[in-house]
This record gives sequence, structure tokens and C-alpha cells, in this order.
Amino acid sequence: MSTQVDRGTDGARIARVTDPSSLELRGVTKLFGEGPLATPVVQDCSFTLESGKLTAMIGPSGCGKSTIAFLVAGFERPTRGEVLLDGQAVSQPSHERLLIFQETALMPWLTTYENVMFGPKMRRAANKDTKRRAEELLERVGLREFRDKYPLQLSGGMQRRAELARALINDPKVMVLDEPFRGLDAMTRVLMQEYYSALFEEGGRTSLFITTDIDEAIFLADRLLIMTNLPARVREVIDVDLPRPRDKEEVLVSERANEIKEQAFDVLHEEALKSFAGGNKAAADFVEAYTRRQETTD
Amino acid sequence: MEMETRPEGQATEATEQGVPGTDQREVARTDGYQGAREARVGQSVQAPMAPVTGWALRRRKLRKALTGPAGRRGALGVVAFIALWQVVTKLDEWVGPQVPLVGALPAPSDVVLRLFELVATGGFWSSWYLSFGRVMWGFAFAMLVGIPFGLLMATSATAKRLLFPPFEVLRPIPPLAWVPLAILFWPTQELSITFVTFLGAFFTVVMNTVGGGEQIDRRYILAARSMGANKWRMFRRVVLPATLPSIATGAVVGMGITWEVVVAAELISGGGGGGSAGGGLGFLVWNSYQGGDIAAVVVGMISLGIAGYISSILVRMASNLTMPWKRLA
Ligand SMILES: Nc1ncnc2c1ncn2[C@@H]1O[C@H](COP(=O)(O)OP(=O)(O)OP(=O)(O)O)[C@@H](O)[C@H]1O
Ligand SMILES: [Mg+2]
Repeated sequence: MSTQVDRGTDGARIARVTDPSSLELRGVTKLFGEGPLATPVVQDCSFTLESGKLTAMIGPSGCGKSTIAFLVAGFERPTRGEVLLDGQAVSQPSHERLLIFQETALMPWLTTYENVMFGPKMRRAANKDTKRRAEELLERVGLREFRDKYPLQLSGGMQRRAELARALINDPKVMVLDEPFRGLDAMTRVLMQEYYSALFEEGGRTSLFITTDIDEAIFLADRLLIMTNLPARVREVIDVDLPRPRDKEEVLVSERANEIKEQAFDVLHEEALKSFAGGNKAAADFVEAYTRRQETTD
Repeated sequence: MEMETRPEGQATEATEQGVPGTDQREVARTDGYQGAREARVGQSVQAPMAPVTGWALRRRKLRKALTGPAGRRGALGVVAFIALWQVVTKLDEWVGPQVPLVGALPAPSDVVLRLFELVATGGFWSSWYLSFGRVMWGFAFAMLVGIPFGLLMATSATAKRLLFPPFEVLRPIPPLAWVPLAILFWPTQELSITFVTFLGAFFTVVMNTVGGGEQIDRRYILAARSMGANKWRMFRRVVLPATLPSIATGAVVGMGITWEVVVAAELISGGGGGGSAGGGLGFLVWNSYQGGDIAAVVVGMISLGIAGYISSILVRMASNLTMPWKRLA
């Protein structure tokens, strides 16, 4: 994979991916447990992360999204089926497919800068070039002044940005973000969405963004994968054909965005109802919230 | 507790400079927001306030501890305690009736007088030297052997299956029960006492190291694996630093145990010679008791308290040095 470096509007160096990769899950099933106790968490799941596109995966809590993230990262192997990167089957973790975890996973014993340099150091690839790139990335995510702070000294949003920088320095072909903004307060969350959106638009790196927040998914994504309840499968694919670069406020009032949202809601609602019948608490909450929403919009 | 240090320090700084006292988290987060917004419009992020660090912070905290209301109350408590002790023990001399039980103890004034006599003797200092030496050697060997041993069991399932059962059988044996064997086994009395001291810290250090090594957040390991860490770098850059806090806890607890053990070992073994006030602080206490010198017993006890306190401060300082991220200054 190669990157082309040019100057962004704010003068920062931007590495733009010139030949983005694509990743495919082909008929993937993942069972947890042994023998008769084995239960499928992912069942016959197929989808493609198109090259240079941001795909958002949205589904009810506990439906197996993190398991899919682990399969893509290579931390788990499919029981059946394949994960293919540019047509090649993958089975091992690699810096080509990096996962940003649900909660912050910065090493608390390393400073922000050392955390960003962690990947190159581990591969013995640290050199003048990567060091300069680390400084640039810190600048880019607004953490230059915090380069020598430890993670515990950073706010939640700063930690998430440090983590983005730590992943980006490895030039992954595919980035998976597993509910990266969960747990941030509402204000920080919106800012992080704008931030991440800008980073993605600059870099054009094939990405999978997992979330339970439909507004977040529509604002960020080129495509939505709506998942079924456990075991996870793709229930519906919706293209988000909103123009880029996107602006949070514009998207909020956009007619098209609201159409997509209705469409996604209907599918999610059906899925939630199904698991509601099965006694799922999260689904019950969802149905309740949905009903309230319908009442206010009607 | 350590985590509190910095925000407190900075908040003080802020108020001193006339900035309205903002909560540190708030300050940091506002900077974060600016980071997000400004990076888009192309301005640089503002520099945060220079934090109070190192000695300046420590000196300020010390001054506050000594002169602040908490410090004053603490001093008052100590003075009141000593005064009460003096009155209770001297009541028979001053008034007549002896206070039951505690009246037989030596008065603080007698203890201080005895202390002045003892510090003039070489034996008293040689006791300090001997006990400190036994504790430090035993403790150092416990760390030196215990940490690698614990890490081995934490990182290798085979090693754990092999080594853990015998370890678990030996662990509950009180170190003092080892004294007879230790005396038989080791050529010198000094080595026997040091060995028993070693045992006191060893099991604690190993248990904490194993526990810490096994509880490492799985995501650190996974992240390092996906970024291409080999076995050695995984150990050196992830497992070891992630286990350090537990090792430090083991060290602090283990140091406390070595002092308990050294005193008992000195009692049993007879101190290894060295005169009436020599032979170790534990021996000093026992020997003074047998000679009916109760004031010297109390001097020995207080010496043990101070020695234990000093050594736990040393351990904490060492652990702060190895874990700068825990200091956050
Ligand atoms: N290693 C494992 N062994 C057994 N079961 C597992 C394992 N990992 C996950 N599961 C189960 O798989 C199901 C899906 O888990 P997963 O974490 O993938 O869901 P999720 O959609 O990411 O949920 P959330 O929204 O809470 O993050 C859960 O019921 C969980 O208990
Ligand atoms: Mg999850």
C-alpha cells in the first residue's frame, strides 16, 4: 500500500492512501463454547468493506459486533468461512488490520508520544521518518502539548485521539473502530465524530466503524451494515449517499439523511422486536425509545 | 491516592495566580475541545499551564503537611499522647496510687533518658546496623529471586503447573518454623537469620507478581500483538511494566513482613552475639527484658517502628522511580 503526502488546508502534512484495500467476510460463522454447548455468535455472515470507504456497522447491544471486530483483527479465527484482505485469507493479527477497542487501551506506562511510537518500536521500524510522522500525527490530533503526558492525565476525548494516532502511524490497510466514542459525554462525542470524520476524509483509509448510535453512523458512513440480533448476520445494507465533506449541522437537517434514518430505524425496530419477544433487556429499551420517538414525530 | 496529587497541585497553582479555581479535568477537556476545533481551522492549540513538579511540589506538600490544620492537629495528638503516658506512669511517684496495668510501664522521660545512654554505646548502633542489614539482604534476595520466579509462573502455563503446587505447600509454613532448619543448613548464624527474613518476603513477592502478571488487561497484549511485538518485546514492553504496580505492592507488604520476621529470628537465635545492646534490634528488646531494663525495651520497640517506617519509605521511593506514570507529576 502506498500513501501520498500533501498539505492539508491547515498546513499539516496529510498522508492520503492512494490504493486503498478492501476486506471481505465470506460466510463466516463463529461458535463460542465446546461440543453441545457451542453457540453461534456470528452465523453465516458475509459483507465487504469497500476500498477507501467508511462502513458503519450498527446493531443491538450484545449482537456480536465486537466478535466480528476481533475476527477482522485476527484475534479470533472463524469456525467456518474466511476473512479476506484484498482477496488473501487472513488468520493472524497484523498491523495491516488494526482495531481500536471499545474502552481506551493506551499503555498507561507510556507517554502520549511513546504510545504513538509503540507500533514502530515493536516492529523495530522506529527511525527518523516514523519519529517525524509521530510528531505530525500528534499535531494533527491536537495533542502536541500533551506529548509527554501519561494517558491518565488526558481527558477521555484526548485518549481517543491519541489512540487514533497510535493506530494511524502503522499505516493499516483497514481500520476497525469498535464503539470508540462510547462512554464519552455528549459534547465530546460530537466533537470526536467531527474530528474522526475529517481524519477519514483526509486519509481515505478503508474503515469499519461499529456503533449503536444511528445518528453517528449516518453522519460518518458511506454505507451502513445493519445487523441482526444474536447470532450476528448482515440484515440490510444501506448506502449513505450524502456528499462529503460533511458538516454535522447540515447532516442533522438534511432531508436525505432523515430518509436513511427512517429506513434504518424500521429495520432495527423489527430486529429489536424479535429479540424483545426473546426477553432481551436492551431490545426492550430500544422499543420503548422508538415508540416515544414515533409519538413525537407524528 | 497518588493520582490525586497532580490535579490538587495544579488547582492550587491556578488559584494562587488568580485564575478562578477550575477543576483540572475541566481544564484539560477544554483544551481537548479546542484541539478538535482548531485543527480544522488551522490554529495551534494553546499551551497548558506549566505544572508544579518534582521537588517544588514535594516541598509545598511538606510545608502544608507541617503547618496546615491537619499537621497541627497531628502534632497535638502526639504531644497529648506522650503527656498522658507520662502522667499515668508517674502517678505513683507524684500522688501515691499506681494506675493498674499501665502504671508499671516506663515513663517517656525515663525512656528518653535511657535512649541518651544507649545512643552513646556502640552496641545500640550495631543493633541498628545488623537488623537493617539482615532485612535488606533478605528483602533484596526475595525480590531478586521472587520476581523472575513469579513472572515465569505468570507467563508460562507449563511452569505454573510444575512449580505452583510445591510453592503452595511451602507458602503457609510460618517463616519462624524454618528457623531450626535454617540454623542447621546455613554455615553461619547471620546467614540463617537472613534466610528466614528472605522467606518472609519471598512468598508475598511471588504471589503478587503472579497475580499481577495474570491480570494484565488482555487488550494491551492484543494491541501489542497486532502491532507486531515478538515474545521478548511483549515481555519487556508490556508484561513487565503492566505487572510493576503489583510487584510494588508485594514489595511494600514483603518489607513489612521482613521486619516482623527479623525480630523473631533474632529472639530465637540469640542475636548472633554483639554485646548487651548489640545483636540486632529484636535481640536488644528481648535481652533488655530479661535484664529487667524496661526503658531499653521501649527504646528498642520505638527503634523498630522507626526502622520499619524508613524502610517502607525507601521501598515507596524506589517504586516511584520505576513507575513515573504513577506519580503523574
Ligand atoms: N470469548 C467468548 N466466549 C464465549 N462467549 C463470548 C465470547 N466473546 C463474546 N461472547 C458472547 O458473544 C455475544 C456477543 O458478544 P459481543 O461482545 O461480540 O457483542 P457486541 O455486539 O459487541 O456487544 P456490545 O454492544 O455490548 O459491545 C455475547 O453474548 C457474549 O456473551
Ligand atoms: Mg462490543
